[in-house]
Amino acid sequence: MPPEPDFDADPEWARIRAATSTVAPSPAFADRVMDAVADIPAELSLIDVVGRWGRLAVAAAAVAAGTAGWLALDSERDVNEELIATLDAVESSI
Amino acid sequence: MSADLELQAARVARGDRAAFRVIVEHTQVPLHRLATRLVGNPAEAEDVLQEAYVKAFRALTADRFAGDAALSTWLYRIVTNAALDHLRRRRPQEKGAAEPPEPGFDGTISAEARLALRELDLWLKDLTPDQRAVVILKAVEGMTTPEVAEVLDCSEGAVEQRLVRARAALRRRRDAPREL
Repeated sequence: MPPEPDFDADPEWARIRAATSTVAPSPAFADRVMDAVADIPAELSLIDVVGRWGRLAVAAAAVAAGTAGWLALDSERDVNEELIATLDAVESSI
Repeated sequence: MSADLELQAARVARGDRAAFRVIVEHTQVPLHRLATRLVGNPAEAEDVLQEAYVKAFRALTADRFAGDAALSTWLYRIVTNAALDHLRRRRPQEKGAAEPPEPGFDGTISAEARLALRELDLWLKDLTPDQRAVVILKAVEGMTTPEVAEVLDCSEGAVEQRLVRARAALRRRRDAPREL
């Protein structure tokens, strides 16, 4: 029969916690994991590198576009709106 | 130790495999314990944990660890998801089946722990994998609701909702013999 579902009140849950707290993996488990990841390339793939530089390029373009727009705009609010619109446009184009 | 693990994660992202071994060696015991409690069997838990570490390695080397949660929380999340996938795959065909054997497990498990896992499995057998996860994280791992929400990557409300349903299922099971 399960214990009372009030987890704090029923000591049965604490008993289960204590009894299962000594479980430990096999001594060679870490070696097994390292064997499993041995064939996975640890360096960034070309796609990852392109993706990373792509994100940087988008951010730089957004900042540049926002700065350029600033010069022609009247208020700080206009600048913010222009920046948001620029980011949206950049995001939708990729 | 947490900050140190994040440093190791940054090294893995730069292609340092030895740093990944450091992460495995520092986290394997609590994560294996969690996986064992979730799937109910230490040998299957090793398979689940290995799968989770492979996913973590791929994510770290592809620079997909955002660092918005602590590395240990992120690993808990990956292990819990791997265990839930395992339970979803396993449950339908094994309901009512004999207890699975434990081939190849040479880690540590006492007779008391084995009995406790069997009891736990019996108590939680009517719960869905998601409900089982919240009960184990909350009642056995001893996490708070916000911690459970972070591990399961859901809202605290969703955790509470699953707990309500899990408690109701446990209560039904507890009261069932008296109704007969």
